[in-house]
Amino acid sequence: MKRLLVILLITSIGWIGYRMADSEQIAVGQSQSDDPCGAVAVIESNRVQLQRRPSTFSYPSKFLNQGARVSLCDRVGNWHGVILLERGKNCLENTQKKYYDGTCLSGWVHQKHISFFAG
Amino acid sequence: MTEMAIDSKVYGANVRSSPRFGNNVVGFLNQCDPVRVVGPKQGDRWIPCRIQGQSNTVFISKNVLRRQVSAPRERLVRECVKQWLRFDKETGKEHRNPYHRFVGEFWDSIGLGHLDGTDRDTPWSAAFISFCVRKAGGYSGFKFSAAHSKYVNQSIVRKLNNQAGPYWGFRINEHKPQIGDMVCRKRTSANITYDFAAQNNAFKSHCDIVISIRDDHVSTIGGNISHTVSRVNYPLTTSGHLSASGRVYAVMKNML
Repeated sequence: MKRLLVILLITSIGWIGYRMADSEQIAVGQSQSDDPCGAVAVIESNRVQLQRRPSTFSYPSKFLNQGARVSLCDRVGNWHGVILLERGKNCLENTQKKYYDGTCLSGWVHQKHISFFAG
Repeated sequence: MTEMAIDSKVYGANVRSSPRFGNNVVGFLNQCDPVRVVGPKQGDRWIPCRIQGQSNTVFISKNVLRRQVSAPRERLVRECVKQWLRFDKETGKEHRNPYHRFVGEFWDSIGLGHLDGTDRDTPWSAAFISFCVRKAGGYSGFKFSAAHSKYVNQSIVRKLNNQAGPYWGFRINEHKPQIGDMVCRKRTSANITYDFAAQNNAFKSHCDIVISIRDDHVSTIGGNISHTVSRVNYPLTTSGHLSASGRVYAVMKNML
């Protein structure tokens, strides 16, 4: 019985770890006429976590600083699926797949950390 | 003397030296260009007109003329057409020279002059609207913004509270679109309604300016559509209201 509980515990920890590290993809629009994401927001405070999944129960992939610009592409509840925009780099150019596969960093940011800017 | 404007299906009209078809074309006027009627109709279609800045009488088909609306509305739609022409009728792409500089002018009109068309990640359609409204002049109190949702919300709130302003936001079944109005639609997958827009001013949206009314659709001009300034048609119902099929959730009535 004790051995079974240990196995169950190890399995659970492994599963939780896997879920936390696993990323949820960011869906982007595929309209011929509209931009893939259609809106840009600004991060409002420092050390905002860019999560791998739309949940605080996830490993952050990066900490964002105040003033960083993100493209708002996807949404799950109060979480926005975003692409971190980089100056001089067009992160959304030639995005034609259903999920973002470009070179810029993507992830999930909670609504309370962003200020709607353009779109 | 009646003030008229060009209203053609092909975005312009031939100007003729005599009241008939033939080898008598002496010019071309663009959509929304103003003309002054100087006499009675000749034959079944030809209206004698005078073009601004010219003294001779020319002839234009009645089928491509409409009565002018108010001066602020006319200025607004002429500015839209001017920009559409400046982007070479939808062929000039935002990131190419010189068009990226024109996008920079749109951004500059709302104090964001550090952006231009080479920044392809930042949507500029609301900057385009703001630029055209500002250029038209007389739209005091308009919420110039990089986000459509700001002025959509403002126009709906003003309408609901009976407050004066250059635009009032209506449900699409409450107002038949007219020249100079704005058609506002949601973006793909965004669940935006008129009631939501009345309560919120930060959401994805898109608006275009109405430049022509037909029996079954309105023609509009907007920015950042297919990476340029483009014309878009929105279908009308038989009653003359905007159809909801085009993801339209509000019509902003031009109050000027």
